[in-house]
Amino acid sequence: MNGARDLLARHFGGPAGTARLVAGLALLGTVCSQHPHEAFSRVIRFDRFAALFPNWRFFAPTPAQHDFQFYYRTLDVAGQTSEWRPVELIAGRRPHQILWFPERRAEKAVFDLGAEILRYLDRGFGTARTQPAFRLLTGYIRSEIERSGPPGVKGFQFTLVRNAGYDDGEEPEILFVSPYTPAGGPR
Amino acid sequence: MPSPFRTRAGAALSALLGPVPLSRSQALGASERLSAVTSLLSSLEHLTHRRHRRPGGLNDWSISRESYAGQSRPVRRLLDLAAAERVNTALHAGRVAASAALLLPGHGRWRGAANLFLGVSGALLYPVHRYGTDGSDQAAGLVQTATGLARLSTTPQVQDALLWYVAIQSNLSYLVSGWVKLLGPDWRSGSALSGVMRTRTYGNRHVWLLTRRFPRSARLVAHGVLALECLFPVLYLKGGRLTRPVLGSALAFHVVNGFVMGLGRFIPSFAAMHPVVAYTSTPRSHPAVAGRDDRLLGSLALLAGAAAVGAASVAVSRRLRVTDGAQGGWTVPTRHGNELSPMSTVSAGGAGPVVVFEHGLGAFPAHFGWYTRALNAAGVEWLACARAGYGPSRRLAAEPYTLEESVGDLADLVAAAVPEGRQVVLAGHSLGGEIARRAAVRLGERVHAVVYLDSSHPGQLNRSGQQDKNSGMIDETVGALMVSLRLGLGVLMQTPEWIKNLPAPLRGRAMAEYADPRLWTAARREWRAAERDFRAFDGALDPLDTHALVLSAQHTVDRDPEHLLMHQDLAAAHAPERVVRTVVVEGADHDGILTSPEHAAPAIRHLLDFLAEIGSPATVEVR
Repeated sequence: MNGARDLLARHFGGPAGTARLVAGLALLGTVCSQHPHEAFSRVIRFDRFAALFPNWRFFAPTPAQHDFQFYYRTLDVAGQTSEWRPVELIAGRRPHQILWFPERRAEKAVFDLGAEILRYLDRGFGTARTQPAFRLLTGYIRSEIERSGPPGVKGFQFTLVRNAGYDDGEEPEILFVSPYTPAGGPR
Repeated sequence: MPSPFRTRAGAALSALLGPVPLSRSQALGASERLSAVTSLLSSLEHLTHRRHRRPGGLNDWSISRESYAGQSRPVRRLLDLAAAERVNTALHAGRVAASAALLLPGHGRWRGAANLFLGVSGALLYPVHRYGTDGSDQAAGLVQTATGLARLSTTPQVQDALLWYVAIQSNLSYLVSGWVKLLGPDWRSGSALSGVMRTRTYGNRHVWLLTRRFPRSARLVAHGVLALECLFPVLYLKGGRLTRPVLGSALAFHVVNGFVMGLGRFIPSFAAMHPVVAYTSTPRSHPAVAGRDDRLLGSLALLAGAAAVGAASVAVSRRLRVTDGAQGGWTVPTRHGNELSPMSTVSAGGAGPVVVFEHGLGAFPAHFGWYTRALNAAGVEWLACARAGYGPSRRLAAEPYTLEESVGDLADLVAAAVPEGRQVVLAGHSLGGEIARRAAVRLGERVHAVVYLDSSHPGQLNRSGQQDKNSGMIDETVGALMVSLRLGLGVLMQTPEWIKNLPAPLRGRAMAEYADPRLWTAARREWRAAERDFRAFDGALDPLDTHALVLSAQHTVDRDPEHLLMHQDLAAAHAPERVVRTVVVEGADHDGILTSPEHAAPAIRHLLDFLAEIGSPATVEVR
């Protein structure tokens, strides 16, 4: 009994012991947050600020081997529908990016949003379209059309396509097509 | 006398091998400076791309704040404040200033406050810039928080605990990434590298073409990366003899990723943990690390041991609950030697057909919780039973499992548990629907009706490309759950929404069943048998002279229109002079048709209407 008490006091006694306890719990939580299956997310859900339990499963177990590409088409006030146009966000690789690559965040954001929408698509499009991720994308595409699209747009429709990037040998897959969305709709 | 060549080779080798003996202060200084480079770049990126958090941006806070609606009001207020244009700009400007200041020489305690500010503000800003953040932000945040606290502390033991924390996180970052990659077939085959390189987001056209031209070399590189990650902690062996080659390789790996994948920020953020790894991997006998306190390793082992005991206790307690028979240990033996443990409201004085529920793959009787409640209210008697191997029902059959075993068990259950002379309505969900259909063929006139609840069809793998494509994934997922739960990881399982949606008295046991490996072991056995059985199916369905109700979940048939045709086939197999109804339950998905109160309610109404239509319990007679 005394042995166990001494062992605990040796490791967790005093200010340094408290530091070891907190650091140990944070490490244990990190380990418990690495399961690749979403069902085992009981611990990581406590970390809403992504500050305690980092995700160290980079590109594992199945790496992303596709790009997400958005396309939109517009309906103008004269009733004409445009061709599908790509929303270009991916910068392509340049040597200077190793030092300065702020556009990476937008690329990653689209990737994150696309992945989140896909998770909700399993529960049906009706559920997915109410999620913040879907509405963020709708708002983004709306503002892109306002910024660089044709004039006199009444509304638009967009689609998420998963393609194999530089590999033209694989057919792109349409993941969803949004319903018609008014250009001046709620943000 | 050694030759000059051997002497030079020995000198070169000793320069490449051995520890990197940094002192505590040197490790702390190097880590915080490298992390400061990451946060400097990060905040400059946000300052130059502010439009993404305004309306129409990819992090428009007026929308993304809804993800934090469950937080307390003070936290939500704090986040709103961090997202406000001026405050956000001021925070990033402060982070730029603090990061730049940390790059200056010196060891003052103000550096601790600066680091802590960077760590805490990084966490606060994460929700505001959530989409687009990455592992480099997380790595920098944890290093800055730990080094900040270490700088502010005057106790070397506290500082060492914090530095060990960073060092173990560094080891975990490689270990976890490497070992979890091994679970992926693309990494094991070495094809993942080419797959990633072909993407425009993370890849590089030239490198992708090289991987296509030299596939063996590409596989070698992929496996080399795996080896580096999985074996990273070897640098702690033999007095840190491998520290230089391992840290050198890891740094080279990050630099190559920076060029090839556009992950430049990862170089300083992960390299920031290397000085601490160097400090902790130097033998304690070395003067540079004299007096280092290594007790965090023992503390971590004690905590891990306690956690393992806790996880094992939870697993044992769940197993005891799961295998506890529902009705005083009542069991029904079957022709295959199995022992079924049913629950039932069937009474001696009851009348009319008994509704017998057959659950789906990886499911249990509690899935029918809303249905059984409704039947109780309507005065309809029912019987539900976990299949052999699930919950309290024991699988003792010696032969390899086939679906026919479950069909035989269901027939034996009806014979033993339903009073003679009373008919049954077999109601099966998913795979349970197919088992019920086959049992109906075997039970003949004993069956009054079959109710298919978003049922499987034996031709689904041959007729539906989508089902065929998903079959490998089902086996993989069920297998991963089974192995994880056998390892005692059930304690890490989050209660899924569908369990929270079940009637309250059923939730505790449902969670125990869901997190018990028995369920997933049985599910894998059944799935493999079902896959063999379904792939061999090429005929027509057996005709059935019973009434039928086919309920399809809208989401199932929307995603795969072939499934609607298969459900129509199920209905068409029943004699046309019988009552045969097919209904698509609006908005329901495959499980939600049972577990979601919103979607189970209309499905139950259809079931009760159907039961009324085919004959009230008092008037149904055995033909």
